[in-house]
Amino acid sequence: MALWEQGGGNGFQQRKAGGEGDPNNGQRSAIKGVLTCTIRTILNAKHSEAENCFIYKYFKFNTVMIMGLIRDVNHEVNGSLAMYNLDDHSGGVIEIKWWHDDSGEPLKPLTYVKVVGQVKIFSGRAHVVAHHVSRLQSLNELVAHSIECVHASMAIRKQASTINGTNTNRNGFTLIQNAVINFLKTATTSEGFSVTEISTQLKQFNENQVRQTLEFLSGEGHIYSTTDDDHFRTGNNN
Amino acid sequence: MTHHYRINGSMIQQFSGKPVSIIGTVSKIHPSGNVLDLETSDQQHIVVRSSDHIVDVNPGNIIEVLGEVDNRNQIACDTIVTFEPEQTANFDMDMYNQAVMLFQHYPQDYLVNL
Repeated sequence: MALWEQGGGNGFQQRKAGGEGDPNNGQRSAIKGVLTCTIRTILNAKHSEAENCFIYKYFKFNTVMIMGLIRDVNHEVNGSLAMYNLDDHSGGVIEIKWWHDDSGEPLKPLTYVKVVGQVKIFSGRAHVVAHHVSRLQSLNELVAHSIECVHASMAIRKQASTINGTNTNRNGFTLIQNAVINFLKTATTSEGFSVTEISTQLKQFNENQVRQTLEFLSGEGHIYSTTDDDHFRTGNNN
Repeated sequence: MTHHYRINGSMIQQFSGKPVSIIGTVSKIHPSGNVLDLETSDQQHIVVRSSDHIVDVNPGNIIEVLGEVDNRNQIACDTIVTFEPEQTANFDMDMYNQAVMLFQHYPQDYLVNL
């Protein structure tokens, strides 16, 4: 409905730009959770307005935990904002903004710190607004962090490829496409299988996904409908 | 600023010409003050040449060396990171060594921007 059609014809109502007036904005859940990652990952990521988070490959995040060497220190005159350039040797330096109270001694260059904070983008450059900055208590933490980064990448990568079924197989079909085709190949009648039968068989996917896949596959000519639009089978060979 | 590979002594040759990060124990500092001998996590010895005079480093200290492997399998280093004694008191050098070797097995996850 256009803006001027609202308000019953008595001129138009002011619609708040985003915020409370917009039923979509703010309802999209921000990605929660803390991603243990390298600075390179953050610098490579792009901000997605649609998903309200940063995305790089299979990583989606807003909050990160990073560990790196302070290269430069910049304390504001009133002492409550500290800015550090952090380097974890992954290729790239990122700015950390930390609003803190005056307690504790200031951190110096060439000190390793652990930072947990939100990734923000300003003028095309990403930086981290930290809510936690602390010196490493043991060098073992650095080793553990590196291992965790690799582990997080591995776990998220595997999760992304199985849940979405977008993992491509050697023959170019995705996981779900392959599953549908393989099941249809077992059909013994010219009628093939119905959408319901296929859905029941392939428990790991929902009916919607199955329907979409069937639509795609028949459009490409890999399968064809038989007695009606709800029944499919493959061709006579492969 | 490029990615520095975490390596140990036996990987030095493999990473010739590349930027690396090595954590090890200082075995000795040369009289010149610019060169030190580092014992790596796999008990090998490598020579580290620093661009600046080496300060705050003593034999027995655990340090991190950031630099490049030159054609003599020595490290041309631009940064030496030192630690407080408490930070390295319980350092598990063997776990670090295993981690370093592990990373080579998972290049896709170690270097995410591959």
